[in-house]
Amino acid sequence: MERSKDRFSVLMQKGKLEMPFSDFEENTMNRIHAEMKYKTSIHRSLRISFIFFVLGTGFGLVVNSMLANADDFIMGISPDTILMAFQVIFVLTVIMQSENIYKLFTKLKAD
Amino acid sequence: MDDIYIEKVLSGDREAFRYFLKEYKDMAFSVTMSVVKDEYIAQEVVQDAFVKAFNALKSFNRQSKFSTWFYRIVVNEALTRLKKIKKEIISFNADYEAYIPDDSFLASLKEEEQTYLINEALKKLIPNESLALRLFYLQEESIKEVCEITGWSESNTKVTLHRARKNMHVVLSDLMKSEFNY
Repeated sequence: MERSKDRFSVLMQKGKLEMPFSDFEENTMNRIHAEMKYKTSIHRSLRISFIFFVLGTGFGLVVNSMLANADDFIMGISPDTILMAFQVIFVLTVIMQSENIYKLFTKLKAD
Repeated sequence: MDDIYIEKVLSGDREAFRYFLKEYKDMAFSVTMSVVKDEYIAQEVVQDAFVKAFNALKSFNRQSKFSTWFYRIVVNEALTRLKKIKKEIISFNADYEAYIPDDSFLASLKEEEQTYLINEALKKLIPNESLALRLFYLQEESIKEVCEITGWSESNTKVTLHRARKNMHVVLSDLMKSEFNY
């Protein structure tokens, strides 16, 4: 029984296959390099988009406070209406951009 | 040796990962072939597994051997691909009453004929059984490591191995009859 098991074990050693594609190593390393390059570019995009997001939000807040202090009608529209419209657009833009940045972050983490 | 190269890769030397490709590609290919049974798909799966291992290397906690951790990735990738392609693998229904061949005939064959027969037989076995045999006999992993790689329980692994050995004998017998008129 033991001898038969040993023989089986010896026979099974012949079941080892060799990778039949000679360019496998090169292709895999190329893919790894390409993916790392892609990740680096995503990192850079993320950093730039984050900087512009902060700058844009700050600029929006400044415009918002300027509009809140404005007394004159602009092109016949009352300052309150302009302020309201600006605030709605500002909040929606901040929410959408935050979502985009969050998605980019999670994509980067998942990769 | 693995640890040295892990450190190199983690410190930013991407080319050091070639060591793992050279060291593990053949075994990873053998293990994947057990599951997907197609050379081209197996190549893709092994490549995906290597890229995944490269990306996840910093999360490798070294509680197990690198090979065990890596083969687990390989097996998971292979099983996921198998589900995706839904390739119909004709499972071999073992006839336990079938005649179990005398190993001496197999031993009398030429080396390349033996290799051909063993690999053809492994192709005919269902994925779990050929995977268990390749991991246990080729890689000479212990039952515990086979469990760790596949995620099976110890008793499940033992039963699969037992069935695989029996089925392997029966498939070999069929192949010897058809190929060598034994």
